[in-house]
Amino acid sequence: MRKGIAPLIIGVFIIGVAAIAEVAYLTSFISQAQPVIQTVRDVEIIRGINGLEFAKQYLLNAALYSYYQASYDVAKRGGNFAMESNSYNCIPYWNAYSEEFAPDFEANLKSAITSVFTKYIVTANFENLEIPTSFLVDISDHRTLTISSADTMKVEKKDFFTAEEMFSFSQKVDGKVFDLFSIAKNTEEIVLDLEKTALSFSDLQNKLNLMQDALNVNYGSQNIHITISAENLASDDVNYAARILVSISDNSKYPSYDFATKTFDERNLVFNFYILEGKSNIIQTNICEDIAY
Amino acid sequence: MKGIIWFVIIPIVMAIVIPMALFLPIFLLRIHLIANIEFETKIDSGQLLMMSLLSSTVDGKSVSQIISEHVAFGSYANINQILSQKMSKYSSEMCYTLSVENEILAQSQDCNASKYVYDVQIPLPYNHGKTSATVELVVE
Repeated sequence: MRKGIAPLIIGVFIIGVAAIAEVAYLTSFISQAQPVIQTVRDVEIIRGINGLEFAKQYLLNAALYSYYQASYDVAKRGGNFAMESNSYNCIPYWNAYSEEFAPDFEANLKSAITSVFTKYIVTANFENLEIPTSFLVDISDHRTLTISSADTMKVEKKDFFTAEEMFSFSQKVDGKVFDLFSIAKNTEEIVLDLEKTALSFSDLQNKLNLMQDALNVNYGSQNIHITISAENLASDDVNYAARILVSISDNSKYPSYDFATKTFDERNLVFNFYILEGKSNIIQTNICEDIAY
Repeated sequence: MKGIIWFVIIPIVMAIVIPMALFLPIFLLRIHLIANIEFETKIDSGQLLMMSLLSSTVDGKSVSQIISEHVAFGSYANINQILSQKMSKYSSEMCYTLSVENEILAQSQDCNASKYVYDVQIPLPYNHGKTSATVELVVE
């Protein structure tokens, strides 16, 4: 009987030692759990902040591309975005027989930028990120594009981490579209003055050709090219109805999609508009579809 | 003899097997957690590297813009050289592959990276229906 008790005591002792070791290991594991949880959270926080930074970088570049596309489209449509005024082949009449249809160019450019930039936001895949889709566009001094919102960009992670960032980006832009608009306004005034002295359509055409040459000499140093062409909508040379197309282009290379040809390329900016002048009041218009980004 | 088996060997075997049965899952869980945390930490480091690379500039243009324009127009014939130089500044010994839309832009020589994959979206110049591309960095 005594011989049987000794191995039992040894066995119980070994089990006891193992149990104590296990308790010690479990205690150590549980005590290390907090740093492990913290590390996991840190990883999530860093990832969330990285996501915000990537989104900021994405949106900053998207703002520049939005400016390029909007400038191309608005310039091509003579300063319009949604074509509200009278137009022919999506080129607006800025002046029709002394009646002004001047576009609100800057407001239209901002609307176009807003539309393109919204497209960039809604097609991007920002994981766990909330991005405002309502924002303001400003172009101070025609050279600094700022896109901002009262709402913030926000990243949330499993109820333990929320980071917010101001939604405000400033991007330097070349402002060439503003320069072209300014030249277009000057050219419009010159053409209107010139027409007052024209005796006939032929006379007007000669004067326009001379003025085109003079303007190209004047703006040539800025790499700006102006073409002025006129067609007579009436059949009479004296009682004419001149539709004058003014196109002003520069040497920029804007990456842009052309909705008319459905092609993407690097293109010059071209500012187009019509002037109608003469002794008849003929006006031709057709419908111009809105641009759907 | 039977007493030795019942009172010594079986308790010893139980003393080993029962704690092992309890320890092993916890031990494996710990290894799994450590490996995952290490992996996730490396991913974060890779993201930081990617962010630094894309926001760095060459001749006044960000690398992100250069890659975008390359995707849009193929306008940078020397993009491999530009990006290899950039990457070598981070680490000359790093084994990596940098690609966009399945085109390899730059990669280290004599190695095949496959372990850690980081990807990020960059905007492309507006082209109806395609506004972004995914840049992928694979590091060994």
